[in-house]
Amino acid sequence: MELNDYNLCVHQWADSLFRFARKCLGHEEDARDVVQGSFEVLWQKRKSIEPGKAKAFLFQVAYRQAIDVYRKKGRITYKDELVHTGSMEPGNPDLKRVLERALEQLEEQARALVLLKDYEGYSYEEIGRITGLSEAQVKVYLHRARKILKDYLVSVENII
Amino acid sequence: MITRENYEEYMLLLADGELSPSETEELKAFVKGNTEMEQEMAYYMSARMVPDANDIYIGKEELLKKAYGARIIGLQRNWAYGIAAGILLLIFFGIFKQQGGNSKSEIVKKDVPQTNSKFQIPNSSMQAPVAKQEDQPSTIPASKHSITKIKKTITSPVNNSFNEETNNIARAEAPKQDSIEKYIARADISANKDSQPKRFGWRVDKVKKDSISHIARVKSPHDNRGWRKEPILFGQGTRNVDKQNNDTSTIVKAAKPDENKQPFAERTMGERDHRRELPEHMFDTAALIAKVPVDNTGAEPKQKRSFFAHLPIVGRKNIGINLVTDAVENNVSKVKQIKENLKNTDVVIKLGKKEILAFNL
Repeated sequence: MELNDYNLCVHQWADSLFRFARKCLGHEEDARDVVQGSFEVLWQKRKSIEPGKAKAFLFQVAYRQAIDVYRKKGRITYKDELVHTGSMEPGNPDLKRVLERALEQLEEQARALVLLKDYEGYSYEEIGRITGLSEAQVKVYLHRARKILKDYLVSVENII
Repeated sequence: MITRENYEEYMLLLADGELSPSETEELKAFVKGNTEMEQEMAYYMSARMVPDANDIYIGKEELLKKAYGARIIGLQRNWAYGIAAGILLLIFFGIFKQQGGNSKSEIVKKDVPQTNSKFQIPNSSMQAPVAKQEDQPSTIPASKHSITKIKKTITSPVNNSFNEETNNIARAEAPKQDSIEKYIARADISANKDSQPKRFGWRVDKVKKDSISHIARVKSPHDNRGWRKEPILFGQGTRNVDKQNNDTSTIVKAAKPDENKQPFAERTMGERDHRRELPEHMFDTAALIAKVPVDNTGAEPKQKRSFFAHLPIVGRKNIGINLVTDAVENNVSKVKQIKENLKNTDVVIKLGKKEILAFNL
Protein backbone atom coordinates (compact mmCIF):
# COMPACT_ATOMS: atom_id res chain seq x y z
CA MET A 1 0.00 0.00 0.00
CA GLU A 2 1.33 3.38 -0.98
CA LEU A 3 0.69 6.81 0.36
CA ASN A 4 -2.14 7.49 -2.03
CA ASP A 5 -3.83 4.21 -1.16
CA TYR A 6 -3.64 5.04 2.50
CA ASN A 7 -5.12 8.48 2.01
CA LEU A 8 -7.84 6.96 -0.13
CA CYS A 9 -8.66 4.58 2.71
CA VAL A 10 -8.98 7.52 5.06
CA HIS A 11 -11.48 9.16 2.77
CA GLN A 12 -13.42 5.97 2.16
CA TRP A 13 -13.52 4.23 5.52
CA ALA A 14 -13.00 6.78 8.26
CA ASP A 15 -16.71 7.56 8.55
CA SER A 16 -17.88 3.94 8.65
CA LEU A 17 -15.14 3.03 11.07
CA PHE A 18 -16.13 5.90 13.28
CA ARG A 19 -19.81 4.81 13.25
CA PHE A 20 -18.86 1.28 14.09
CA ALA A 21 -16.59 2.34 16.94
CA ARG A 22 -19.11 4.81 18.27
CA LYS A 23 -21.93 2.27 18.35
CA CYS A 24 -19.65 -0.27 19.91
CA LEU A 25 -18.35 2.05 22.61
CA GLY A 26 -21.24 4.46 23.02
CA HIS A 27 -18.79 7.33 23.40
CA GLU A 28 -17.65 9.70 20.70
CA GLU A 29 -14.18 10.53 22.00
CA ASP A 30 -13.35 6.89 22.59
CA ALA A 31 -14.53 6.19 19.07
CA ARG A 32 -12.27 8.92 17.68
CA ASP A 33 -9.33 7.43 19.53
CA VAL A 34 -10.13 4.04 18.10
CA VAL A 35 -10.30 5.43 14.57
CA GLN A 36 -7.01 7.27 14.91
CA GLY A 37 -5.35 4.24 16.39
CA SER A 38 -6.67 2.00 13.64
CA PHE A 39 -5.36 4.25 10.88
CA GLU A 40 -2.06 4.62 12.65
CA VAL A 41 -1.65 0.85 12.71
CA LEU A 42 -2.62 0.72 9.06
CA TRP A 43 0.04 3.29 8.22
CA GLN A 44 2.67 1.44 10.16
CA LYS A 45 1.87 -1.83 8.43
CA ARG A 46 1.06 -0.42 5.03
CA LYS A 47 3.93 -2.27 3.38
CA SER A 48 2.40 -5.66 4.16
CA ILE A 49 -1.24 -4.81 3.47
CA GLU A 50 -2.81 -4.82 0.07
CA PRO A 51 -5.18 -1.95 -0.67
CA GLY A 52 -8.11 -4.36 -1.20
CA LYS A 53 -7.79 -5.75 2.30
CA ALA A 54 -7.33 -2.46 4.05
CA LYS A 55 -10.98 -2.13 5.10
CA ALA A 56 -11.11 -5.52 6.79
CA PHE A 57 -7.80 -4.77 8.47
CA LEU A 58 -9.10 -1.45 9.75
CA PHE A 59 -12.24 -3.03 11.22
CA GLN A 60 -10.20 -5.81 12.73
CA VAL A 61 -7.97 -3.35 14.52
CA ALA A 62 -10.93 -1.19 15.50
CA TYR A 63 -12.82 -4.20 16.87
CA ARG A 64 -9.87 -5.22 19.05
CA GLN A 65 -9.30 -1.70 20.27
CA ALA A 66 -13.01 -1.28 20.95
CA ILE A 67 -13.03 -4.46 23.01
CA ASP A 68 -10.07 -3.18 24.99
CA VAL A 69 -11.70 0.17 25.55
CA TYR A 70 -15.00 -1.44 26.43
CA ARG A 71 -13.33 -3.55 29.08
CA LYS A 72 -11.64 -0.50 30.53
CA LYS A 73 -14.89 1.38 30.28
CA GLY A 74 -16.45 -0.87 32.90
CA ARG A 75 -14.29 0.90 35.46
CA ILE A 76 -14.98 4.39 34.12
CA THR A 77 -18.17 6.40 34.35
CA TYR A 78 -18.62 9.14 31.79
CA LYS A 79 -20.51 12.24 32.76
CA ASP A 80 -21.73 12.81 29.24
CA GLU A 81 -23.09 9.33 28.92
CA LEU A 82 -25.96 9.03 26.55
CA VAL A 83 -29.18 10.15 28.15
CA HIS A 84 -32.32 8.76 26.68
CA THR A 85 -35.16 11.08 27.40
CA GLY A 86 -38.43 11.29 25.58
CA SER A 87 -37.52 8.72 22.97
CA MET A 88 -39.64 6.06 24.56
CA GLU A 89 -42.61 8.23 25.18
CA PRO A 90 -45.83 6.30 24.77
CA GLY A 91 -47.53 6.91 21.47
CA ASN A 92 -44.39 8.30 19.87
CA PRO A 93 -41.98 5.49 19.58
CA ASP A 94 -38.71 6.20 17.83
CA LEU A 95 -37.58 2.94 16.35
CA LYS A 96 -34.06 4.15 15.82
CA ARG A 97 -33.61 5.15 19.42
CA VAL A 98 -35.26 1.97 20.61
CA LEU A 99 -32.81 0.00 18.56
CA GLU A 100 -29.91 1.95 19.97
CA ARG A 101 -31.18 1.20 23.44
CA ALA A 102 -31.58 -2.44 22.48
CA LEU A 103 -28.04 -2.47 21.12
CA GLU A 104 -26.75 -1.31 24.45
CA GLN A 105 -28.27 -4.37 26.01
CA LEU A 106 -25.94 -6.60 24.00
CA GLU A 107 -22.50 -7.72 25.00
CA GLU A 108 -19.64 -5.95 23.27
CA GLN A 109 -18.86 -8.88 21.00
CA ALA A 110 -22.47 -9.41 19.94
CA ARG A 111 -22.85 -5.69 19.37
CA ALA A 112 -19.83 -5.67 17.14
CA LEU A 113 -21.14 -8.61 15.19
CA VAL A 114 -24.50 -6.95 14.60
CA LEU A 115 -22.85 -3.71 13.54
CA LEU A 116 -20.46 -5.45 11.21
CA LYS A 117 -23.35 -7.34 9.68
CA ASP A 118 -25.85 -4.52 9.39
CA TYR A 119 -23.63 -1.52 8.86
CA GLU A 120 -20.98 -3.01 6.63
CA GLY A 121 -22.81 -6.02 5.22
CA TYR A 122 -19.99 -8.46 5.88
CA SER A 123 -20.65 -12.13 5.45
CA TYR A 124 -20.26 -14.59 8.30
CA GLU A 125 -16.90 -15.61 6.96
CA GLU A 126 -15.62 -12.04 6.75
CA ILE A 127 -16.92 -11.24 10.21
CA GLY A 128 -15.17 -14.37 11.43
CA ARG A 129 -11.85 -13.12 9.98
CA ILE A 130 -12.31 -9.74 11.61
CA THR A 131 -13.32 -10.97 15.01
CA GLY A 132 -11.24 -14.07 15.05
CA LEU A 133 -14.28 -16.28 15.38
CA SER A 134 -15.31 -19.19 13.24
CA GLU A 135 -18.09 -18.80 10.74
CA ALA A 136 -20.39 -21.03 12.83
CA GLN A 137 -19.64 -19.01 15.95
CA VAL A 138 -20.44 -15.82 14.14
CA LYS A 139 -23.72 -17.23 12.97
CA VAL A 140 -24.72 -18.45 16.41
CA TYR A 141 -23.68 -15.30 18.23
CA LEU A 142 -25.29 -13.09 15.64
CA HIS A 143 -28.61 -14.95 15.74
CA ARG A 144 -28.56 -14.81 19.48
CA ALA A 145 -28.04 -11.09 19.40
CA ARG A 146 -30.74 -10.66 16.79
CA LYS A 147 -33.26 -12.49 18.99
CA ILE A 148 -32.37 -10.20 21.90
CA LEU A 149 -33.01 -7.16 19.74
CA LYS A 150 -36.31 -8.57 18.51
CA ASP A 151 -37.41 -9.40 22.02
CA TYR A 152 -36.50 -5.92 23.13
CA LEU A 153 -38.62 -4.43 20.37
CA VAL A 154 -41.51 -6.72 21.26
CA SER A 155 -41.24 -5.79 24.91
CA VAL A 156 -41.23 -2.08 24.13
CA GLU A 157 -44.17 -2.56 21.83
CA ASN A 158 -45.99 -4.37 24.58
CA ILE A 159 -45.25 -1.54 27.02
CA ILE A 160 -46.53 1.03 24.53
CA MET B 1 -37.63 -27.19 3.53
CA ILE B 2 -39.15 -24.64 5.90
CA THR B 3 -41.07 -26.07 8.80
CA ARG B 4 -42.49 -24.77 12.04
CA GLU B 5 -39.33 -25.95 13.77
CA ASN B 6 -36.84 -24.09 11.62
CA TYR B 7 -38.78 -21.13 10.24
CA GLU B 8 -37.21 -18.85 12.92
CA GLU B 9 -33.73 -19.61 11.68
CA TYR B 10 -34.87 -18.80 8.17
CA MET B 11 -36.18 -15.50 9.49
CA LEU B 12 -32.81 -14.77 11.13
CA LEU B 13 -31.01 -15.61 7.93
CA LEU B 14 -33.37 -13.34 6.08
CA ALA B 15 -32.60 -10.53 8.54
CA ASP B 16 -28.88 -11.17 8.02
CA GLY B 17 -29.35 -11.12 4.25
CA GLU B 18 -28.06 -14.63 3.88
CA LEU B 19 -31.10 -16.16 2.14
CA SER B 20 -31.19 -16.63 -1.57
CA PRO B 21 -34.13 -15.13 -3.51
CA SER B 22 -35.77 -18.52 -3.88
CA GLU B 23 -35.45 -19.22 -0.17
CA THR B 24 -36.83 -15.77 0.56
CA GLU B 25 -39.87 -16.43 -1.62
CA GLU B 26 -40.33 -19.78 0.03
CA LEU B 27 -40.25 -18.21 3.49
CA LYS B 28 -42.71 -15.52 2.49
CA ALA B 29 -45.04 -18.17 1.12
CA PHE B 30 -44.68 -20.17 4.34
CA VAL B 31 -45.62 -17.30 6.67
CA LYS B 32 -48.29 -15.98 4.39
CA GLY B 33 -51.69 -16.21 6.04
CA ASN B 34 -50.17 -16.66 9.51
CA THR B 35 -50.42 -13.27 11.29
CA GLU B 36 -48.27 -14.31 14.20
CA MET B 37 -45.47 -15.45 11.93
CA GLU B 38 -45.78 -12.38 9.74
CA GLN B 39 -45.48 -10.11 12.78
CA GLU B 40 -42.51 -12.06 14.08
CA MET B 41 -40.78 -11.75 10.74
CA ALA B 42 -41.52 -8.01 10.77
CA TYR B 43 -39.87 -7.71 14.19
CA TYR B 44 -36.77 -9.51 12.94
CA MET B 45 -36.59 -7.25 9.93
CA SER B 46 -37.00 -4.20 12.15
CA ALA B 47 -34.18 -5.34 14.44
CA ARG B 48 -31.58 -4.50 11.80
CA MET B 49 -29.37 -1.54 12.43
CA VAL B 50 -29.34 1.22 9.83
CA PRO B 51 -26.25 3.43 9.63
CA ASP B 52 -26.74 7.13 10.09
CA ALA B 53 -25.24 8.99 7.15
CA ASN B 54 -24.90 12.14 9.25
CA ASP B 55 -22.65 10.39 11.70
CA ILE B 56 -19.30 11.24 10.15
CA TYR B 57 -15.76 11.52 11.37
CA ILE B 58 -14.63 15.13 11.64
CA GLY B 59 -10.95 15.72 11.13
CA LYS B 60 -9.93 13.37 8.37
CA GLU B 61 -7.12 15.78 7.44
CA GLU B 62 -5.36 14.81 10.63
CA LEU B 63 -5.32 11.21 9.48
CA LEU B 64 -3.98 11.96 6.02
CA LYS B 65 -0.29 11.55 5.42
CA LYS B 66 1.88 13.81 3.33
CA ALA B 67 4.77 13.02 1.06
CA TYR B 68 8.17 12.74 2.64
CA GLY B 69 9.42 15.79 0.74
CA ALA B 70 7.04 17.99 2.66
CA ARG B 71 8.20 16.80 6.04
CA ILE B 72 9.79 19.36 8.27
CA ILE B 73 12.89 18.10 10.01
CA GLY B 74 13.70 19.86 13.20
CA LEU B 75 17.24 21.00 13.85
CA GLN B 76 17.17 20.42 17.55
CA ARG B 77 19.45 17.45 17.20
CA ASN B 78 21.87 19.35 14.98
CA TRP B 79 22.38 22.32 17.21
CA ALA B 80 26.11 21.67 17.40
CA TYR B 81 26.44 21.91 13.64
CA GLY B 82 24.40 25.09 13.66
CA ILE B 83 26.71 26.68 16.20
CA ALA B 84 29.75 25.60 14.20
CA ALA B 85 28.33 27.06 11.02
CA GLY B 86 27.58 30.32 12.80
CA ILE B 87 31.13 30.56 14.13
CA LEU B 88 32.51 29.94 10.67
CA LEU B 89 30.36 32.65 9.21
CA LEU B 90 31.44 35.08 11.88
CA ILE B 91 35.09 34.31 11.23
CA PHE B 92 34.81 34.80 7.49
CA PHE B 93 32.74 37.93 7.73
CA GLY B 94 35.15 39.30 10.31
CA ILE B 95 38.11 38.76 8.03
CA PHE B 96 36.48 40.35 5.05
CA LYS B 97 35.20 43.26 7.04
CA GLN B 98 38.65 43.89 8.45
CA GLN B 99 40.19 43.85 5.01
CA GLY B 100 37.54 46.18 3.67
CA GLY B 101 38.14 48.66 6.52
CA ASN B 102 41.90 48.75 5.86
CA SER B 103 41.35 49.48 2.22
CA LYS B 104 39.07 52.35 3.01
CA SER B 105 41.56 53.90 5.37
CA GLU B 106 44.22 53.62 2.72
CA ILE B 107 42.06 55.43 0.27
CA VAL B 108 41.44 58.23 2.68
CA LYS B 109 45.10 58.59 3.47
CA LYS B 110 46.08 58.97 -0.13
CA ASP B 111 47.01 62.39 -1.20
CA VAL B 112 45.53 63.13 -4.49
CA PRO B 113 48.47 64.84 -6.20
CA GLN B 114 50.92 62.25 -4.92
CA THR B 115 49.13 59.34 -6.33
CA ASN B 116 51.64 56.85 -7.58
CA SER B 117 49.23 54.51 -9.13
CA LYS B 118 50.32 52.67 -12.13
CA PHE B 119 47.04 53.63 -13.62
CA GLN B 120 47.89 57.27 -13.31
CA ILE B 121 48.22 58.58 -16.78
CA PRO B 122 50.46 61.51 -17.40
CA ASN B 123 48.65 64.58 -18.42
CA SER B 124 50.42 64.67 -21.71
CA SER B 125 48.70 61.52 -22.81
CA MET B 126 45.51 61.65 -20.78
CA GLN B 127 44.28 65.14 -21.11
CA ALA B 128 41.68 65.46 -23.73
CA PRO B 129 41.48 69.10 -24.53
CA VAL B 130 38.33 70.41 -25.99
CA ALA B 131 38.40 73.24 -28.36
CA LYS B 132 36.67 76.08 -26.65
CA GLN B 133 35.79 77.62 -29.92
CA GLU B 134 35.67 76.17 -33.30
CA ASP B 135 38.24 78.63 -34.54
CA GLN B 136 40.69 77.86 -31.81
CA PRO B 137 43.05 75.03 -32.31
CA SER B 138 42.91 72.58 -29.51
CA THR B 139 45.89 72.31 -27.28
CA ILE B 140 47.59 69.06 -27.67
CA PRO B 141 49.14 67.66 -24.54
CA ALA B 142 52.06 66.10 -26.24
CA SER B 143 55.40 66.55 -24.71
CA LYS B 144 57.96 68.64 -26.50
CA HIS B 145 60.35 65.83 -26.59
CA SER B 146 57.99 63.54 -28.41
CA ILE B 147 57.03 66.23 -30.84
CA THR B 148 60.65 66.88 -31.60
CA LYS B 149 61.19 63.25 -32.27
CA ILE B 150 58.21 63.09 -34.51
CA LYS B 151 59.34 66.13 -36.39
CA LYS B 152 62.67 64.58 -37.03
CA THR B 153 61.06 61.51 -38.32
CA ILE B 154 58.69 63.31 -40.57
CA THR B 155 61.33 65.50 -42.07
CA SER B 156 63.16 62.48 -43.25
CA PRO B 157 60.44 60.33 -44.68
CA VAL B 158 62.78 58.36 -46.87
CA ASN B 159 64.63 57.11 -43.92
CA ASN B 160 64.87 53.36 -44.01
CA SER B 161 64.18 53.07 -40.37
CA PHE B 162 61.07 55.12 -40.65
CA ASN B 163 58.72 52.40 -39.65
CA GLU B 164 60.79 51.39 -36.70
CA GLU B 165 61.08 54.89 -35.43
CA THR B 166 57.45 55.64 -35.87
CA ASN B 167 56.68 52.52 -33.98
CA ASN B 168 58.86 53.68 -31.17
CA ILE B 169 57.28 57.08 -31.19
CA ALA B 170 53.84 55.67 -31.15
CA ARG B 171 54.68 53.43 -28.25
CA ALA B 172 56.21 56.34 -26.44
CA GLU B 173 53.12 58.41 -26.94
CA ALA B 174 50.69 55.68 -26.21
CA PRO B 175 52.59 53.34 -24.03
CA LYS B 176 51.44 49.93 -23.04
CA GLN B 177 48.12 50.05 -24.71
CA ASP B 178 48.45 47.12 -26.97
CA SER B 179 45.63 45.32 -25.29
CA ILE B 180 43.17 48.13 -25.67
CA GLU B 181 44.42 48.64 -29.19
CA LYS B 182 43.59 45.08 -30.00
CA TYR B 183 40.21 45.50 -28.51
CA ILE B 184 39.58 48.56 -30.58
CA ALA B 185 40.81 46.80 -33.68
CA ARG B 186 38.41 43.95 -33.07
CA ALA B 187 35.59 46.36 -32.59
CA ASP B 188 36.51 48.12 -35.81
CA ILE B 189 36.72 44.90 -37.73
CA SER B 190 33.38 43.79 -36.45
CA ALA B 191 31.98 47.14 -37.41
CA ASN B 192 33.35 46.66 -40.90
CA LYS B 193 31.74 43.28 -41.11
CA ASP B 194 28.43 44.88 -40.35
CA SER B 195 29.12 47.33 -43.15
CA GLN B 196 28.62 50.22 -40.81
CA PRO B 197 30.85 53.14 -41.53
CA LYS B 198 32.28 53.71 -38.08
CA ARG B 199 35.32 55.78 -38.55
CA PHE B 200 36.15 55.88 -34.89
CA GLY B 201 34.92 52.46 -34.18
CA TRP B 202 34.81 51.49 -30.58
CA ARG B 203 35.21 54.84 -28.92
CA VAL B 204 32.44 56.50 -30.80
CA ASP B 205 30.23 53.54 -30.13
CA LYS B 206 30.84 53.57 -26.44
CA VAL B 207 30.51 57.28 -25.91
CA LYS B 208 27.29 58.95 -26.60
CA LYS B 209 27.85 60.93 -29.70
CA ASP B 210 25.91 63.95 -28.56
CA SER B 211 27.89 64.35 -25.41
CA ILE B 212 31.38 63.66 -26.54
CA SER B 213 33.05 66.33 -24.58
CA HIS B 214 36.26 64.41 -24.69
CA ILE B 215 36.32 64.35 -28.42
CA ALA B 216 37.25 67.62 -29.92
CA ARG B 217 35.56 68.26 -33.13
CA VAL B 218 38.03 70.45 -34.82
CA LYS B 219 37.01 72.32 -37.79
CA SER B 220 39.86 71.87 -40.12
CA PRO B 221 40.93 74.98 -41.98
CA HIS B 222 41.77 72.76 -44.85
CA ASP B 223 38.29 71.64 -45.50
CA ASN B 224 38.13 73.59 -48.66
CA ARG B 225 41.23 71.82 -49.78
CA GLY B 226 39.69 68.47 -49.65
CA TRP B 227 40.90 67.35 -46.24
CA ARG B 228 38.77 65.09 -44.22
CA LYS B 229 36.72 66.69 -41.53
CA GLU B 230 36.31 64.44 -38.57
CA PRO B 231 36.69 64.41 -34.81
CA ILE B 232 40.03 63.64 -33.32
CA LEU B 233 40.98 61.75 -30.23
CA PHE B 234 43.94 63.54 -28.82
CA GLY B 235 46.86 62.07 -27.09
CA GLN B 236 45.91 58.50 -27.79
CA GLY B 237 46.51 56.24 -30.60
CA THR B 238 43.27 55.47 -32.32
CA ARG B 239 42.54 52.67 -34.58
CA ASN B 240 41.35 53.23 -38.00
CA VAL B 241 40.36 50.64 -40.49
CA ASP B 242 40.93 51.14 -44.06
CA LYS B 243 37.59 50.13 -45.41
CA GLN B 244 38.81 49.29 -48.83
CA ASN B 245 41.62 47.00 -47.90
CA ASN B 246 40.60 46.12 -44.33
CA ASP B 247 43.96 47.45 -43.40
CA THR B 248 44.02 47.90 -39.71
CA SER B 249 46.51 50.45 -38.69
CA THR B 250 47.07 52.82 -35.89
CA ILE B 251 47.09 56.47 -36.56
CA VAL B 252 48.77 58.64 -34.09
CA LYS B 253 47.25 62.02 -34.27
CA ALA B 254 48.87 64.95 -32.76
CA ALA B 255 48.96 68.59 -33.34
CA LYS B 256 51.54 71.06 -32.61
CA PRO B 257 50.23 73.52 -30.11
CA ASP B 258 50.81 76.26 -32.55
CA GLU B 259 48.00 78.72 -32.42
CA ASN B 260 47.98 79.84 -36.02
CA LYS B 261 48.47 76.56 -37.71
CA GLN B 262 46.29 73.70 -38.59
CA PRO B 263 45.05 71.70 -35.66
CA PHE B 264 46.11 68.46 -37.08
CA ALA B 265 47.41 66.77 -40.04
CA GLU B 266 46.79 63.28 -40.93
CA ARG B 267 48.86 60.74 -42.58
CA THR B 268 48.19 57.12 -42.86
CA MET B 269 50.84 54.63 -43.65
CA GLY B 270 49.23 51.29 -44.03
CA GLU B 271 50.16 48.47 -46.24
CA ARG B 272 48.85 50.46 -49.16
CA ASP B 273 51.06 53.32 -48.07
CA HIS B 274 48.49 56.01 -48.64
CA ARG B 275 50.89 58.72 -47.82
CA ARG B 276 49.48 62.04 -48.63
CA GLU B 277 51.63 64.44 -50.34
CA LEU B 278 51.61 67.20 -47.87
CA PRO B 279 52.89 70.60 -48.78
CA GLU B 280 56.24 71.40 -47.33
CA HIS B 281 54.91 74.17 -45.14
CA MET B 282 52.53 71.75 -43.52
CA PHE B 283 55.37 69.99 -41.77
CA ASP B 284 56.13 73.09 -39.86
CA THR B 285 52.69 73.65 -38.55
CA ALA B 286 50.65 70.56 -38.84
CA ALA B 287 50.70 67.71 -36.55
CA LEU B 288 52.41 64.65 -37.65
CA ILE B 289 50.94 61.40 -38.50
CA ALA B 290 52.80 58.26 -38.04
CA LYS B 291 51.69 54.88 -38.86
CA VAL B 292 52.18 52.25 -36.32
CA PRO B 293 51.77 48.73 -37.52
CA VAL B 294 49.37 46.56 -35.63
CA ASP B 295 50.87 44.24 -33.14
CA ASN B 296 49.43 40.94 -34.29
CA THR B 297 51.92 38.81 -32.52
CA GLY B 298 49.56 38.30 -29.62
CA ALA B 299 52.29 39.03 -27.12
CA GLU B 300 51.13 40.07 -23.72
CA PRO B 301 51.61 43.70 -22.87
CA LYS B 302 54.42 44.40 -20.52
CA GLN B 303 52.29 46.53 -18.26
CA LYS B 304 48.57 46.44 -17.95
CA ARG B 305 46.74 49.69 -17.89
CA SER B 306 43.37 50.43 -16.50
CA PHE B 307 40.50 50.77 -18.83
CA PHE B 308 39.70 54.12 -17.33
CA ALA B 309 43.19 55.32 -18.07
CA HIS B 310 42.37 55.21 -21.75
CA LEU B 311 39.27 57.28 -21.42
CA PRO B 312 39.90 60.91 -22.11
CA ILE B 313 38.43 62.14 -18.86
CA VAL B 314 39.88 65.30 -17.51
CA GLY B 315 40.71 66.72 -14.14
CA ARG B 316 39.21 65.46 -10.95
CA LYS B 317 37.16 62.78 -12.57
CA ASN B 318 40.32 61.21 -13.77
CA ILE B 319 41.85 61.36 -10.34
CA GLY B 320 38.72 60.02 -8.71
CA ILE B 321 38.50 57.14 -11.09
CA ASN B 322 42.12 56.37 -10.51
CA LEU B 323 41.50 56.30 -6.79
CA VAL B 324 38.57 53.99 -7.23
CA THR B 325 40.48 51.66 -9.48
CA ASP B 326 43.38 51.66 -7.05
CA ALA B 327 41.08 50.79 -4.20
CA VAL B 328 39.37 48.04 -6.15
CA GLU B 329 42.65 46.58 -7.21
CA ASN B 330 43.99 46.69 -3.69
CA ASN B 331 40.96 44.89 -2.39
CA VAL B 332 41.16 42.26 -5.08
CA SER B 333 44.82 41.66 -4.44
CA LYS B 334 44.27 41.40 -0.71
CA VAL B 335 41.43 38.99 -1.10
CA LYS B 336 43.58 36.91 -3.39
CA GLN B 337 46.33 36.99 -0.82
CA ILE B 338 43.95 35.89 1.91
CA LYS B 339 42.69 33.09 -0.25
CA GLU B 340 46.24 31.98 -0.92
CA ASN B 341 47.06 32.11 2.76
CA LEU B 342 44.01 30.05 3.68
CA LYS B 343 44.64 27.49 1.00
CA ASN B 344 45.38 23.97 2.25
CA THR B 345 44.65 25.02 5.80
CA ASP B 346 42.99 22.62 8.18
CA VAL B 347 40.22 24.22 10.19
CA VAL B 348 38.99 22.46 13.29
CA ILE B 349 36.10 23.77 15.36
CA LYS B 350 35.79 22.55 18.90
CA LEU B 351 33.15 22.88 21.52
CA GLY B 352 34.99 22.34 24.74
CA LYS B 353 37.25 19.40 24.08
CA LYS B 354 35.00 17.86 21.51
CA GLU B 355 35.78 18.37 17.86
CA ILE B 356 32.57 19.04 16.07
CA LEU B 357 33.81 20.05 12.67
CA ALA B 358 37.07 19.71 10.79
CA PHE B 359 37.72 20.54 7.18
CA ASN B 360 40.42 21.58 4.83
CA LEU B 361 40.11 24.83 2.98
